[in-house]
Amino acid sequence: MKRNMWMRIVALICLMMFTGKAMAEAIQVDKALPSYKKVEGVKGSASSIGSDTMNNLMALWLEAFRKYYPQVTIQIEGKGSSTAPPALIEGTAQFGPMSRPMKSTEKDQFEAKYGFAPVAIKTSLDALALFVPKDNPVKGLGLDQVDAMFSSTRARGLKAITTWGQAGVKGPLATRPISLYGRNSASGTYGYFKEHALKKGDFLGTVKEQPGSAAVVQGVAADKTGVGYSGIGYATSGVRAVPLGETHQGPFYQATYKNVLSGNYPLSRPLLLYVVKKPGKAMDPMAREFLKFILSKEGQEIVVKDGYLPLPASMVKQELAKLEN
Amino acid sequence: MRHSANQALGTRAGGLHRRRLLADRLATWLIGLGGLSVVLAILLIFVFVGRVALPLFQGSQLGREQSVSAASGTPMVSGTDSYQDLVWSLDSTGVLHVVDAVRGGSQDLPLPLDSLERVVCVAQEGGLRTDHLAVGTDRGRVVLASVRTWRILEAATPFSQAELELEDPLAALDSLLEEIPGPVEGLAFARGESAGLLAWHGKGRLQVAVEDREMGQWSLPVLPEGVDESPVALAAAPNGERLALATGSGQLLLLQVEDGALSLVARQPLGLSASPTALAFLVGSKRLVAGDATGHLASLVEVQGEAGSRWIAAPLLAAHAAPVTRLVAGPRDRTLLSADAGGGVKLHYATTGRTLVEKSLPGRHFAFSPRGDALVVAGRDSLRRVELRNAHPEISWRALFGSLQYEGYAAPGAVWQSTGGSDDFEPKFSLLPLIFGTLKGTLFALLISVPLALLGAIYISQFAPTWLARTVKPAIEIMAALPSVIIGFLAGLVFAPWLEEKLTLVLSFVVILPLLILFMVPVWQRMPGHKLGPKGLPQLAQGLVLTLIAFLLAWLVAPLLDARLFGGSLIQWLQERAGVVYDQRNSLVVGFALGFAVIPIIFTMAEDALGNVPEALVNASLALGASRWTTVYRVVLPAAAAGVFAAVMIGLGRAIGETMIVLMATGNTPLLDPSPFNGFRAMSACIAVEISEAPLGGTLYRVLFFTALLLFLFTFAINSVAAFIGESLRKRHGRL
Repeated sequence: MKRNMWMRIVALICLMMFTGKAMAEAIQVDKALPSYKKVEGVKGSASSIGSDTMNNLMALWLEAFRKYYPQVTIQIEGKGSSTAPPALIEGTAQFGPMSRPMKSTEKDQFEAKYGFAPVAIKTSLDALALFVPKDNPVKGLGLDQVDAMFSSTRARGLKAITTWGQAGVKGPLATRPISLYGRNSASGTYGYFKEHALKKGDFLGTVKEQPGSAAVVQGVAADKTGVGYSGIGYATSGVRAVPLGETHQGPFYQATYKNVLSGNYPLSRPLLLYVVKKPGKAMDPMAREFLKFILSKEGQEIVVKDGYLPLPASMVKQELAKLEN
Repeated sequence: MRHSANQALGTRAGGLHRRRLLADRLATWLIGLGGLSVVLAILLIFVFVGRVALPLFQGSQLGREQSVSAASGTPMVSGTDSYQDLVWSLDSTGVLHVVDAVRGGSQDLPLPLDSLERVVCVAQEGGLRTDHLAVGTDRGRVVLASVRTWRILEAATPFSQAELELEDPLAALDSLLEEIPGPVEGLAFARGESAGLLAWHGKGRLQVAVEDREMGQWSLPVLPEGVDESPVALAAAPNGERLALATGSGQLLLLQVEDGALSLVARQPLGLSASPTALAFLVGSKRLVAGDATGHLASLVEVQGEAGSRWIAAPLLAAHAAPVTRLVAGPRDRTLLSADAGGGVKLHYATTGRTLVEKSLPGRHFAFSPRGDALVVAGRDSLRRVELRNAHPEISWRALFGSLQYEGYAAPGAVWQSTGGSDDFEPKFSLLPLIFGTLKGTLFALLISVPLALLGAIYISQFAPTWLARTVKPAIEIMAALPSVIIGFLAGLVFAPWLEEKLTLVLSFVVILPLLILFMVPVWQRMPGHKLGPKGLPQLAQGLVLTLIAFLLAWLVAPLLDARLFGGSLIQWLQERAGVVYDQRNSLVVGFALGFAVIPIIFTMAEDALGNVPEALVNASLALGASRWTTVYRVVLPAAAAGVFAAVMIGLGRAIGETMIVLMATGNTPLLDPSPFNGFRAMSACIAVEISEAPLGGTLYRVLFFTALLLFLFTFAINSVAAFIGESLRKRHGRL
């Protein structure tokens, strides 16, 4: 009996070490990425208005970019993806970081002003994670189960899941009702989750809307029955990201770089930078060099540093092509 | 001498008088100006907020009508580009007339039909830059074509050009197609993000082709069992994944495309009495409208169940006097155009069921501009463009304050869910959950703060020793200086998890303390040698000791209660026995936090009012032999009633408008549920959370301003009532 317990403890410690190692596995940027090369005559000032998810990222890129070109100044403001299109249209910003693609009304307004469509450059990848408190034993969830937890319209067709037992959890948690956390509607994360996890359905009224990604994670960490979605970059020691799959039959995948690139992890999205570029005309050298820097090995290393996922070389090539034509 | 001295004195006094008068007048002026500018500022805010909200209620109008050209032939389909530079129509001989509305002139682009072949029906799928057309001919042939437009920006006045592109995806499948030995009778065509769908019928034969848009391949799925009746109307959903058929007997058949195969997912009556004549899906593919030969319109929404989807009836749309001939879905929202055989046209908003516009607008074909800001009307004799102002069709009084049947919901509901991830989202703007949330939060805040603050004020002003009053008052005022963000943060992340753990303890303490005091008062009085003095440390000590004992009792009782009565946990017991779900971020937590913010306000004002009751009144009452408590209850409280009432009302005003605490400590859950164990979404917090997302001038933006206006009116009404009641209280007790 006693020995059995000891074995269990040893097994647990091994498991913890193993998972700890798996999580600490550093993400390497693609070796085929081009290194950034300094060019002459880049100076000027610009401003960037948009996503708060990408605020840190923009600041870090700018800081590194200025090491090459000290005469460049870029002001960065991050109040939400929805602030980017008006700023680009009114010309108050040259860069519009957005964690979601522009809606057609926003594209319309842009086109009405400039006469051509905005150019969206993919800068990095983000995985949306479903967080539970670290001692919640749930092994994995299908998006249909997630939909059945979070949605009032349940477009994926499963029966409503209100307790952890219905989501396959055993033990004391099984009879407890699920406490839902999410982002406020101003965020691109809210929209992305609604479109991809809920299949364009509606959120339940009982989803607690938090004003920031960090607030979601903090709320979940303090609520034993909690579950909430937010960017993978916001993970803390108090929470665990649940492996996800398309359906409840599995297989479930961890939100690792490998699974995001292979497309196995179902909730990942590109972080975009919108710019005004007239088709067939060269861009302003400063803006072009800044984008080239973001898409270089150095720029992608910053992405890793900030907790997001870098682009593979094949995608970078496509994005660089957008700058040329 | 004497005379002059008097005179000097007089002039000095006169100068002083004049200076005083001047100062007096200046002060009157300044104060008056200050007061007036405050009133003016409030009025201006009111006007500004109202001006932003007003366009919500201005309705939709059809504007200027412009005849673009005298059409030749019988128009089968028409349209325009997103800039409305070009207006085009396709006639029955298969010629596309493109009219340049900017530079004048026109261009004819023919479809490759045989010389005698005629176009008999067309299905259209609009896009921003490309209109996809499926053209059916009298020889049973279907041709796919697209009208592509692009804008030339280099010109001084930008203009657009169009070209006609032909697609022949069916050529490869030609041998497999079922031959229709006559004209095509009906056509449906849609192209979504990942799937395309084309269906046509004639002579009792139905043919469906589906497109895998990623691979760019078309295939011909087998029709499922039971789809044998030939339809009288058919429609393809904008996502390209479902096909609706209406039969002559008024049955609706819904076919779903999945992995290139067709399945019949629903067969049910449409809810029309006569034979259906037109069928259309609205944006989002979850709402379907059908029209019949008597002019009636039925609207259905999809609800997902465990046994698949079913379609339930939404409120009817306003009926026509003549048979419905055409239904056209708006490109951006749930706006729907219906036309009848008598030339009458109605614009409906399908979600609210409201009729937006009614007009006589004879034509054979109608199309919305890609942005939904104009209509193209193609008649036998003319091609016209009509301006459409339809900025906020979602808004009606029912949408704001009533229940509506939304897509995907099993029953009509008052729902607040203003934004979605995509353009085809159906916004839900019911303000009821928000108003309810504000009232609920205010109620819980007042339930907690009013007794504590008022009793505290009475104690401090009437019973407490001076040294205590001098310490407590500033301490409570410091509470007011704590930023509400901090209170909200602590309430949400520290207090809420703690309360969840110690719920039984807190609740039993709240019950035990008053009971204990009631029980102890007679006991204490019977104690030998006891003197009940009005002031002094012993009394305070009594209170502290009782509180401590009550806490100890609660601490002892709570685990017992949990174990014996609630089977381990109160929260679980509530959920299993009473069906009440305990949410960690609930109204009790917010009530405590909001109460914390309101207590200093009520306390300070009430304490001032009670302290200002003339000493003479109190002394007179005491001299007449009344006890201290009787004096407080009968003399001091009535005399200070107006001030105490004002204190509560100001506290109420603060609780209603408080934003940050509510935002941080609740989950902002828009529920209509009075349970104290779940949260709410208050109007103020909702404005704060959503205004940054709301596109400037959009419906959400204006609805949020309208909410602000309501909040403003709420507070205004409460303050007016407070002033009125306060005045009458002052009059009644003024004699004291």
